[in-house]
Amino acid sequence: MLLRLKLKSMNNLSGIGAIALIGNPNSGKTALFNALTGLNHKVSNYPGVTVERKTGSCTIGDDTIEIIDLPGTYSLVPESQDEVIVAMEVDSWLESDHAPACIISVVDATNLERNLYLTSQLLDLGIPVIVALNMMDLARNKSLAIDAEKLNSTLGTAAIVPISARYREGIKQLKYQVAQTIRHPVDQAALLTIPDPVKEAIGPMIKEYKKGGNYTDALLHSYAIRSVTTGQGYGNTTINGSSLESSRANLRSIGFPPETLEPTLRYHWLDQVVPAAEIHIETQTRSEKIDKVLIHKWIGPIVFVGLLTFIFQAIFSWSTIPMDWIDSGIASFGNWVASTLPASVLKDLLVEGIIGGAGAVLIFLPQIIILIFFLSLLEDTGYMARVAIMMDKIMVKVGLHGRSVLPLMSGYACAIPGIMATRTIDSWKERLVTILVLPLMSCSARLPVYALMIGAFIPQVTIWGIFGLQGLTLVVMYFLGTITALILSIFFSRWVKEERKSSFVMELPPYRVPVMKSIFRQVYTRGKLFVMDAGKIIMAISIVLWFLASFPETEKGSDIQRSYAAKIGHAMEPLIKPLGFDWKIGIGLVTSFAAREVMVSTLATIYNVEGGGENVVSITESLKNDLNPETGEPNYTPLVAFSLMVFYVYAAQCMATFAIVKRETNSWKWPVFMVFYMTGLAYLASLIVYQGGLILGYA
Amino acid sequence: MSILDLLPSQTGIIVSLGGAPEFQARLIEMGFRAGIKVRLVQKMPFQGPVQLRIQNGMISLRYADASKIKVEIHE
Ligand SMILES: Nc1nc2c(ncn2[C@@H]2O[C@H](COP(=O)(O)OP(=O)(O)OP(=O)(O)O)[C@@H](O)[C@H]2O)c(=O)[nH]1
Repeated sequence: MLLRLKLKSMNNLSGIGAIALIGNPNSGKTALFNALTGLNHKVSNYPGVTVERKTGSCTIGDDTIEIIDLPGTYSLVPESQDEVIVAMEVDSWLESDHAPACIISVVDATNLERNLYLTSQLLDLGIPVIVALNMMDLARNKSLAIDAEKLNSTLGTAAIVPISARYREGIKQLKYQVAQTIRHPVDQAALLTIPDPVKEAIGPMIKEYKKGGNYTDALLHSYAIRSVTTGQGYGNTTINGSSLESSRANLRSIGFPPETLEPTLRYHWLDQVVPAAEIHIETQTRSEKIDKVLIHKWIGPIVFVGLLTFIFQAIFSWSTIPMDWIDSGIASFGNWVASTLPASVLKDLLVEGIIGGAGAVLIFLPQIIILIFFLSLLEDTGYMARVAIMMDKIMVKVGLHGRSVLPLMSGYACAIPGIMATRTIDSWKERLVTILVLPLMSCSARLPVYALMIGAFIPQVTIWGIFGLQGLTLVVMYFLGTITALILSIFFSRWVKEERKSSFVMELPPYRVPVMKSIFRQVYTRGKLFVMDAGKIIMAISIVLWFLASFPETEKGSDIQRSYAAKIGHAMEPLIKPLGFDWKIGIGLVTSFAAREVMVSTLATIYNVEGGGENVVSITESLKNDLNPETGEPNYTPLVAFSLMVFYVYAAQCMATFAIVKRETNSWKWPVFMVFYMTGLAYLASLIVYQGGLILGYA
Repeated sequence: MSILDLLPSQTGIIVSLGGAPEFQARLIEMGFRAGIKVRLVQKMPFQGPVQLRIQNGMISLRYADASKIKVEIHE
């Protein structure tokens, strides 16, 4: 039977018989993708969330069909990297005959004409197009009546199905139409009407494509128009300069600017096809009223700073109770293991290495959850897009772009999705600079290190009646990273060259009530990732470390001061002493190259080995009570804690980040540069903090 | 007059676009073209981006880019 198709592997571009979802940013493609496939990809109210091609499968009747979700785009003539992905995918279909069986063009019914622009480009491809008229719930509220039947026949789409992806309405009908279209494909796409004088003017280009390949009329005209517009060749035809120049000259002579030919023609056509009632302009909407406050000249920035402060305070104050639970849970589990198992090397390893190490990091799960929760909330309500425009002016001043704000803020959770999100920035220079400074945004893996140091050395006092000193210290660390990122981008943007001037055309989505389910889904996904990492990387490193810290054994049993770990750490001391770090921190610096939070598990493992393994020790207490055997003074002071936190603000310590930077910039040059500049900065800053502190008398 | 000369909440009809040709192409793709109504919703301080309502979309442009869009007042 026709519908029975083999599922293709993820990276196979061919996708015979697959269905592709294409639509404007924020039109609800991913929501529809999730509704069709039952998967849970990230849906969010920010234009440009999906930046990669993703696949899933959908069952229609007894059959399974592959579904491809693509980034959002306004046009097949791309501006930014995420849009390039769509244009390239479409090209690959046409060049290899592996076109999808049909395209679902996802259209926001509340902004019909603009969304149909992309649909009109898709109609020329010769692949059946089904329009999923999404957000019908909103269109109904605005009492926009859309005559789907009539639109279908004028556009020549295979079908137009009103749906509401968010509320899963109309999905069944959509599936039915997909099955119909695949079984009985008919090409009935309406031809873009090109006025005769224009057709004549671009004659040389049309001839070029007629020679160049075997294209359908629609595709041929589409390519010719696009070539005249952009000056580039499409399909497997390379255009020659003289036919481009003569077509453009002809157009100019009849008063048609060639560079805007394609959009002008298509809108000219759409204006006739789309019912005039749809093109009216709305009176002041609810979102506009909210914006009057949230992006007001003075109130806007105050609200933004207030929100951020609130979030960082919440990270500390809301997490104390669940952290205590986890802490005591792990401690009693460790003690239970310690008391039930017979004494053996294995037991020591389990209690001191694994439970002590991984447990020390797991404690920070509540804080990470709170952070991710708020970031998703800001994005899903539509607020993030506003932040982008409020910050654009400042961002441009420092060499970045308003669209850098979301990637940078996602960097607070993790640099990797942040770096991926830079694909929506249309200028390469601004994108590269954003990537280069992004790892300076304090990610959630630094949170355990900050939290540990703050918890141990910063007193729990309240200043000015409202701010907790601990929360404030945390804000200072995040601020330090952020401000450095902004300052460095000024310098970096002087070095990176680019001819093209960037532009800023940002759509502001309406404010929406966030879908709690999808927010919890994101929190769950990131939380799980954190726990899994704690489970894998930390476990492995803790085991190795435990061996290094416990051996060689002396006659008196193991003595950590003589262990291999101590030897390695002591060897590092000359280098790190000036920063106030001893050998234990030195070991942590080495292990945290794999991931930053490993610092915490490393200290935990070392203290547990030192403590002898009868009980799982509290690492905060151990840090405070760690005395220098010669002087009897504490090894760690608030000054050392500060120096260490500052080191973590800057240091390059995450393998995964560099791998992604390599992939996104397509060269080793940038990740290597990143490691050097960040490590250098970290060392310098810590040196200044520690030595400066000593001079000022903060021993 | 430029679109920036509209008062907040005032609606104009686009007369012409301006700026680099590729940028104009993107503006047209986003719905900006002669004869279409736009409402100036709000301006950010210090010549920051402006918010425009065009058809049913809300689009933000930089001050310098927006200044090249010429409009006439719609009553
Ligand atoms: N009211 C309503 N909201 C919807 C509907 N479909 C999607 N949304 C919301 O629209 C926003 C965008 O949805 P996404 O699915 O992320 O859109 P997308 O097209 O994948 O967006 P990008 O990834 O940015 O290209 C989210 O806030 C959704 O909750 C719908 O049918 N009705």
